[in-house]
Amino acid sequence: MQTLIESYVADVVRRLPRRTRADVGFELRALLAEELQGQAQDAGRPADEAMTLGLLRTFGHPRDVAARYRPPGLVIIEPAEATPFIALVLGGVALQWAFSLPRALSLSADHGVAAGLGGWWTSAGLGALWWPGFLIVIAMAAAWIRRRWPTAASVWTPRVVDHDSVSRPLWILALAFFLCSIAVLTTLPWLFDQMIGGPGVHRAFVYDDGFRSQRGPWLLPIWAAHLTLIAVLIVRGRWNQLTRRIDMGLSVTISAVMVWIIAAGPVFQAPPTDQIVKLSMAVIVVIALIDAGVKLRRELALHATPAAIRQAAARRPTGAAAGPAA
Amino acid sequence: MVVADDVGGGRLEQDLRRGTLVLAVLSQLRTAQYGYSLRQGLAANGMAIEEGTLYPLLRRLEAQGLLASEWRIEDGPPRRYYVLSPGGARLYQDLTASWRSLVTTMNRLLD
Repeated sequence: MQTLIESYVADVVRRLPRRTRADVGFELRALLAEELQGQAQDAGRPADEAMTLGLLRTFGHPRDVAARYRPPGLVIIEPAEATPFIALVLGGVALQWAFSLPRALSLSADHGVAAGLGGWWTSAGLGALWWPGFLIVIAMAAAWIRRRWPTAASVWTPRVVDHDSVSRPLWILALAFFLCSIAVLTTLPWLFDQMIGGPGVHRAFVYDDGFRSQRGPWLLPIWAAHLTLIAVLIVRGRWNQLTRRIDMGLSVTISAVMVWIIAAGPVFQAPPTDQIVKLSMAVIVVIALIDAGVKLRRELALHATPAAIRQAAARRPTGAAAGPAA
Repeated sequence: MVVADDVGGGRLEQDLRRGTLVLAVLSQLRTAQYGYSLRQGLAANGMAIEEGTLYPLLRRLEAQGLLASEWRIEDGPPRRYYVLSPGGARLYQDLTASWRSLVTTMNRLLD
């Protein structure tokens, strides 16, 4: 019996700060002995192993008991932030793997899939785990700031919630950037020839004939529509349902056209330039589709009626909906 | 439909009791007591507290400066006796006033 108590106390105190172990251990041992003695008196028989084990199990798992001895600790990730944090961790790692694994497998095609997987795992595969570590360090810093300056972290500041508002200076900048980009793309390779010069640079930015004559022109009406939309937003200063839907439609349309351009043939004559541009286009397509998806979800959520209210409306007697009878 | 008594009722009652735990302990430590005698005293007055909850709580209250403790050897093995510290005595007064006000409010709500 004493061995059981000793074992239990040892299991509790090894989870406590070193400086308190001896004192807590001594007290806990004495209290458990008294508890056991009390139980034996109540039962009218001497304490045995089963009674001791019962007492210790009622007392709690040593891990839980040790936790009760400690004051509330530092919360690194708040419960409300746990799900987004896990999504961010897993999403970041999955994204890195999605990029690095196909590349590693294609580079090691001659050595077999197993060798390729092995090489990838010991380099980029495990290497991607820097991301969870980085996020935890950020979360620790945020938790420390919350603890150090609790008032600053807990005071809520109201913010203007107006999803329809448009920042005119920002959109004027976007319009200027968009116009410059279109000017650069439509004047290649002449522009680089004028600015940098040299036959090598000139050759690197020569469009493929098929792209210039057949696929490229499809981009022009979409760009024109986008420029018009930006101009309308700058003038009106607000989004509305129509402009939001046009924006989503344009995102989906330009994504479809860019996917077609990537798949249909070269954009530039020089293969390195062509590869880089196509990779950039693929990234733009992914971003545009994510953006359209987020906007669509927000749009649907804005006009959606909660299911419980729809059910309540359905249960309402028909006469009530029609109002008082004439 | 989920029946509260089956799932959450016991838990909610536990939460309710847990809220009164510190005040109950402080009330009994106006005179020095050791863990086992305190638990027995509380149980005898209808406030049974699990030993695995009470003993760590005493340590935490001491760490917060609300209790003072010392080892004593009297008619048995060495025992650690706890008593209200000056800060604990002040807190006990404040909590007692809050409790009485709360009981009045709750009685008004429940009647």
